[in-house]
Amino acid sequence: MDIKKLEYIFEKVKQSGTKNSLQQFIYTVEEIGEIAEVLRSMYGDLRKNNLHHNHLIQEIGDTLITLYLLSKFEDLDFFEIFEFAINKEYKRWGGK
Amino acid sequence: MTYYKENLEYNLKRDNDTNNLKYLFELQKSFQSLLKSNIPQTKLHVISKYNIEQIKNQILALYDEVGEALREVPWKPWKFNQQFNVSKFKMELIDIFHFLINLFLLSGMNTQEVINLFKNKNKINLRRQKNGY
Repeated sequence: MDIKKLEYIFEKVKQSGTKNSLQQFIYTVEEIGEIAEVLRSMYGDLRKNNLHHNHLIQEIGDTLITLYLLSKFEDLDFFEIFEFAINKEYKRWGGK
Repeated sequence: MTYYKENLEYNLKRDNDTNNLKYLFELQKSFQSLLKSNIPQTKLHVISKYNIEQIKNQILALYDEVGEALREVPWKPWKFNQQFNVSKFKMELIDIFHFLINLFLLSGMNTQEVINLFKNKNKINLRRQKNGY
């Protein structure tokens, strides 16, 4: 994982005018909408274009980056948060 | 507040409003029946498993349409030469409204109930603005 690249993106995002996590969150909302579009297409909604796994991979990736940036605006460690969440969910499902 | 009240009185002439909304509900019902998606024709008191599935699908579609509406708005600070395509944005709002009507239908709401609940909530919101939460 190249954290330096992520930090570079964060600096550029700040320079471009996004000021805080609330402003960053709208990007997450946008990406979630895109995931919804891909899933509608993948699961047979004929009103949607031909979207497949590759699109889903792309949208999930984009969403993760928006969440990384959102965490960064709050000075939080995204990967630590992710690890904590995994452990919490693991225990919730009975993992030891 | 006066402007708001006048508009409210103007826009909420009950009979016309109910009829207009009813017309839209009927249009959407007949469209959905073309899609064979089994929007309930009568009020449902018990929501079956099948309808939960439908509700989930409609909410997913709603998310998608909200995202599409957002994409029509020039909100990205780093993007130059952004245009606000108002007519496309309006069409996305209409798409959102379609799925919202589907959700009303799936939860067994008729137009009168939608209007009543909307008005009630509007009163609550006004009270909250006046008195705080």
